[in-house]
Amino acid sequence: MMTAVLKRILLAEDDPKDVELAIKALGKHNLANEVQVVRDGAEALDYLFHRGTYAARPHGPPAVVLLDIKMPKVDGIEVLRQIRADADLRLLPVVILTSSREERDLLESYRLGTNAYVVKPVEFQAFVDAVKELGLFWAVINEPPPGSLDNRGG
Amino acid sequence: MNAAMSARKTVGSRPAFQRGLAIGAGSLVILLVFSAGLGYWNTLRLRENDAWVAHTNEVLDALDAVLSTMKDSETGQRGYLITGDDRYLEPYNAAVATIETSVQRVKHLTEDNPRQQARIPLLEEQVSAELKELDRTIALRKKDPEAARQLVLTGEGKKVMDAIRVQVQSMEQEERDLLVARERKSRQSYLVSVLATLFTLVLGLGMVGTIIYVLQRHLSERQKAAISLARLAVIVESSDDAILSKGLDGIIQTWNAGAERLLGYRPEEVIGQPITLLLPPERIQEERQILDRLLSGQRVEHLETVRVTKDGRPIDVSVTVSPLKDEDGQIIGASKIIHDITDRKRAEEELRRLKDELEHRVEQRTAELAASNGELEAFSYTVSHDLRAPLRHITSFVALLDEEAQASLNEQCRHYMQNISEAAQRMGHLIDDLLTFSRIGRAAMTVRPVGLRRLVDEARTELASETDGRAIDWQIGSLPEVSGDPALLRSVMVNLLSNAIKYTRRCDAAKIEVGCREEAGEVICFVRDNGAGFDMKFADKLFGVFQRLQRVEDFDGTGIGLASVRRAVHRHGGRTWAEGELARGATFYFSLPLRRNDV
Repeated sequence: MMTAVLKRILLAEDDPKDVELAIKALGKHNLANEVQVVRDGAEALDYLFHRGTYAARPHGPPAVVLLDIKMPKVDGIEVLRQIRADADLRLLPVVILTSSREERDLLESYRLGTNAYVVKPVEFQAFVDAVKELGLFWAVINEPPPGSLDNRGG
Repeated sequence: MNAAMSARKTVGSRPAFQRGLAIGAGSLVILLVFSAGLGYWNTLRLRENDAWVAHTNEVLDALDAVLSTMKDSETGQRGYLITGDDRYLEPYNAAVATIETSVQRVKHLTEDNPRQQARIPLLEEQVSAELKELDRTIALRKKDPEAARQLVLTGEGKKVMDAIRVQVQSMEQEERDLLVARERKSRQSYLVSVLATLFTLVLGLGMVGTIIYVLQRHLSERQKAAISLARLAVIVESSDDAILSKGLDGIIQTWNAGAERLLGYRPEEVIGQPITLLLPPERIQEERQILDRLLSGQRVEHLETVRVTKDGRPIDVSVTVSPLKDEDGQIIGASKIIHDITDRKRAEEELRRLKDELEHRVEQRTAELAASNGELEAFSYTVSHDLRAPLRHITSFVALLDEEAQASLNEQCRHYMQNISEAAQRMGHLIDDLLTFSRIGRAAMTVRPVGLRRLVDEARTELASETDGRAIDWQIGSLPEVSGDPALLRSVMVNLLSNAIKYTRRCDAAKIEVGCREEAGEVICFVRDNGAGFDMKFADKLFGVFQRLQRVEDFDGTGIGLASVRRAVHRHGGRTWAEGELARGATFYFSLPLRRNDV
């Protein structure tokens, strides 16, 4: 899974169907190529901290992390915790993208400093709209914190 | 009887009594000595007076002797002058022989009286003159009887004799006057003596009376004290508690029957023994602490501790210690009441054990409940997260399929796809409602005052989209403030109003009424509508999960709303019920307990 170019969106999602749908939705805004997919929390952390298979990836954090909560190995909450605990990554925009509307998850996510919390809509069009808008906002419209990737438009 | 209270002093203040008694007795002794002295003095005076009376009589006798001797000598002289017979001269001669002695006797007897002494020389002179006269006449008669008779007739002799009589009489008078004066003095002395005796007698009697009275009173006090002591002793002896006393040195002084029963020692075994005999070794220092507290003026009350019986068995006791004080208020020891609390301790222990057991059981149940709650939560979580994902995939891929293949599908196929999509969406709603229902049962409650009127207004705002374009006659009565969780009560109101709006959809003149009344410690609220209503046969099914009395085509809904209402109301300690009639409308009631400060 080596990538030569730094991607703007890191999508951490274990469900292949959700991955497919998300990429489909982002594709409608020509953002499909900007997505780096990781399939569990451990892989997400490896990517973010340049470890394991991602040791040689291009330097720098993505513009945004779209983070599912319920994932194998390491869950999204733990990934968020480690991002916020790291001196270099603590300002990285993180959006929780999940099926859960549980108060517990909401509270914990905001307590740990998520930038947004989005419940995946059941209806496809709503889902497409939500993911599309998320990608557009965070990867294109939002000004990332200083030190984030600078190859905008690349 | 062990004379348990012998250490206690008798009542009354003995030093004062003793001092009083000493003063009384001393005064009595002084009075007696004074009285005896006075008597002695008076007796001396009386004897003196008697002596003086005797002396006076002696003087009178002596004077009388002088006068009678002179008369005898005169009688002898006259006899001789008349007869010339020498025999008549015998009394004369005898008188001449004794007269000097008689006069000297008077002189001697009146030595103490200067006035009488002053009269003596004249008397001596007169006696001497008379004797000379007599001697001269007698001598003349021997030579010339006539001349002698003539000499007598001159009366010279008679004159001298009369003068002697006067002189003796005046001396006698003097003595008699003295006698009267002395008798008067003697009478006075006697009177004084009698009065003094009477006075001392009365005073003495008074003092003796007072002493007897005081003594008697003291004795009766002592008797009373003795009776009350005896009473106390009986109480002490019959007490179930151990009552004992000890000195400051910690030596046991008294020991009642209760002590014997409780601790096993006989009085003769422990009296004189140190109190530490009764203390378990690990509590030996306790005695010192008790003593320190006593000496600082404190009592020790209901100290729960342990004492050891004669056979070495420790018993739980409650000890109350009070200081024993002497008359000056000095602490001289302590009395101890030892109460057996073994039974109480056992009961307490049992109670504690039961309490611990209960707590343990509650903890266990709580843990079980928490575990099952946890499982339920995990289940809800799974449902929330995992059940929705496939639904989302179904709807999404159907949508994608529709996008990609719309042109190549016939009408029938598109209808199927429509059905798949709708079924998935309905299942999504069911899952959402079920989760809401579950959350109502689990969410933490924050109870605070909630205005029902405001809840109704908020619910109506929230349901605005459902009432758009409809004319509903709202009749909102006066609604009180209740105590409860705002979010839960809000969901109750939203559900009930939403129902009412839904089931009046087909009415020409929809009317929804909201009201409240207080009844028997409860606030009872109702939402009434004139909509589709229901058959009372099914009233008990209304509040069950997924229970519906209407077809979905007629009135949409998942059948969760009223179940959520019931659950929320139950969590507040209230009830729910409903009344209705098909096609005539329905009334849904819920009650809430009145806030405590409202009652």
